[in-house]
Amino acid sequence: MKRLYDKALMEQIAKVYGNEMTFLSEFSKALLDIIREGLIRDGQVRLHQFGTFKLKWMESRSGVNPSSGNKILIQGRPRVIFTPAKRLKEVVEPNPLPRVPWSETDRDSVNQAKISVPAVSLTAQTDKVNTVLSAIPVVAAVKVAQAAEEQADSPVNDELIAELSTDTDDQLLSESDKILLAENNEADDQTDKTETVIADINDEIKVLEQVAEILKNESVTNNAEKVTVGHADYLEDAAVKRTDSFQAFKDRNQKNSLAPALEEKDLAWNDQSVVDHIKKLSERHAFNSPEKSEKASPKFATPEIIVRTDTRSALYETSDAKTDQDLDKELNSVSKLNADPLETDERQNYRKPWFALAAVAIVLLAIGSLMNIFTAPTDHQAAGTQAVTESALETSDTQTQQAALAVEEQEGVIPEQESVLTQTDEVLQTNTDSAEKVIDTELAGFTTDQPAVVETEELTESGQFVAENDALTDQTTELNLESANQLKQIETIESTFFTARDYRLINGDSLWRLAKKYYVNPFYWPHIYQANHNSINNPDRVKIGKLVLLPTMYGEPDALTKQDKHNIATGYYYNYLYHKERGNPYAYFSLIGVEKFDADLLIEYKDEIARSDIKNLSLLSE
Amino acid sequence: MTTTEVIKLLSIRLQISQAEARRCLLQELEIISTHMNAESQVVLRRFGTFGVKQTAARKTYLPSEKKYYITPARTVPFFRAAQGLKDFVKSWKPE
Repeated sequence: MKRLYDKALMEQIAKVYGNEMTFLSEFSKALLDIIREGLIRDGQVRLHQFGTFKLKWMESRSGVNPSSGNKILIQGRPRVIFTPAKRLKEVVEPNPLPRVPWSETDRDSVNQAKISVPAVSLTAQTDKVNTVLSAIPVVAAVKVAQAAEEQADSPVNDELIAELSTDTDDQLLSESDKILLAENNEADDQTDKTETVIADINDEIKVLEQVAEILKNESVTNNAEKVTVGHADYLEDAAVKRTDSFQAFKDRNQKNSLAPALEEKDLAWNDQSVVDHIKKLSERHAFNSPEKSEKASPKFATPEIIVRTDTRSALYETSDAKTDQDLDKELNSVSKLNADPLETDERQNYRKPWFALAAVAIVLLAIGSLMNIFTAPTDHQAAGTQAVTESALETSDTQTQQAALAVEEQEGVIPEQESVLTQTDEVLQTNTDSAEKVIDTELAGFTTDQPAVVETEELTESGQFVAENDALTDQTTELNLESANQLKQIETIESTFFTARDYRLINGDSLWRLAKKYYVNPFYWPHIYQANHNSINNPDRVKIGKLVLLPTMYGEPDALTKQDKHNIATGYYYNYLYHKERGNPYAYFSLIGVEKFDADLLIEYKDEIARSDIKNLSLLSE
Repeated sequence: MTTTEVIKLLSIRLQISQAEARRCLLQELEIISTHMNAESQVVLRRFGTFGVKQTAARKTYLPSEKKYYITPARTVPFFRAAQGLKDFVKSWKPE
């Protein structure tokens, strides 16, 4: 393909319109600059009867790095689009073909091609017949040659004809020979002979045509016959192969083994065990057969013991029973105990304990479930199980020691507080009158709008007492705060606010609720998502039964450490990425969390975050 | 930006009359359009290439007539932006 670059284009213009090259190059430069600037300024440049250049914003999307297979965020970018004008299209293709209405015949033509596949095969058969018919003239030519040989006695080719006469039975003649024979015929002008020969040939052609018709009719049936024949052949072959394989097996044994050679007699079913096995099989088969299935199956048959008359006399001698009925009873009782389970009924004897065991197991399970429900109903049930896990995990000695210390300190604090409180009570008792006055004034102030002068007079007196009381109460609060701070210090120095552990999600759980439960503040839910973002796909919808890691929180919920803040911010960032991939327009809301907890992280990932989102974020933060 | 605006800017920059600028513009566009063939294409450095491509025949639907049509294969002009233009436009953002 020929490519016209800038200079060549200018030359073309100069050739056609006769302009100066220097001016044209300047002009084209200026034109392209203007188009570029126009694209930036307005987003589109329309050139009349040529086309429009347009900029289109391609949104950022998630892609996959084909070399590593990692997910990457492809940033949004503008794209230049050119839509040609109608005239330009006409210039490129002056006379385009008009559009044709779609008809069902287009589809039918396609379908016909599909259906005509068997038709093609039929035509192939007819083609075969045609080939047969086309072969007839060749045969005729051969016949002509033969006839010519008989009659011809040409002096030129005597030797050749002598040779040919020997090969008449084979009917194989080369084309050159035929031509020679034909020349001879012409030379001799034996027309009468040839006419008779041609008549014979016409008769033969008729016969061949008849044969062809017969072939045409029976071509389909012949295939079926062939299939059956082929099948029979296959069976015969298989039989031959089988016998051969047996012979080969015998030969192999004779050659390779030292043992005496096997015979057909040895291979037959002569062993007694084999015979028994066959009998068993036949019996089983008979049991399943419809003739015997009408009878009552032994599954439901009651065990009956029939004592024969021969043995009855012998039994009377051994047993104490004198009547037949007593003997039967005795025998039944004995026989039941000593009965062979296989003889009587297998299943009836062996089923009962299984049923009993199953029933007992079900009952136990039911009782167990009921007990659980009564002890820990609904919501507390989960808490109970969690508490157990917590206790199991908190096996470290340090934590137990801390707990002991905490208890001791609390015990030590309480008496001090009590003493302070008693002091305050005494003071209050001494100043009951003043306190009452204060209360009265306050009530008066709330209830009725009395002049402020009355209040001020009394407040000057009571204000001091109030101040004293306030100071005392402050002291108590200070003490409480001190003790709390001490506890905090112990916790923060030696352990964390929350140690990491696994948690299996139950019905009604969400990351928000888990954060509220374990980290006090539900806004710390990205702390959990950050630790499990590989396993959790959608942070807004977690599945029941999933094992989740609740990560450690080093600082108190009120006073988070730097690490905690960083973790939460990363969680918020992952949440942003998740929603951005799915094209959520409000994905940048989660960036507010990133900015709040760790602004440095936002700067770190600045390049990966979409510009529009940063813009929105800046607008929101301002 | 439209053609008239382009002509005005050209006349200001090159210090020529608007009529002349218009004439030159049309000449250049005419030459470009005539060289957009199956045999040749125009390549402007740091701007892009103007060429022609083939589209296959396809089945289309006219909603006004509620009918299907077969649009035949056509040769259609195309413009492919060069890397220079892409880089130039990179800073652009929609309002």
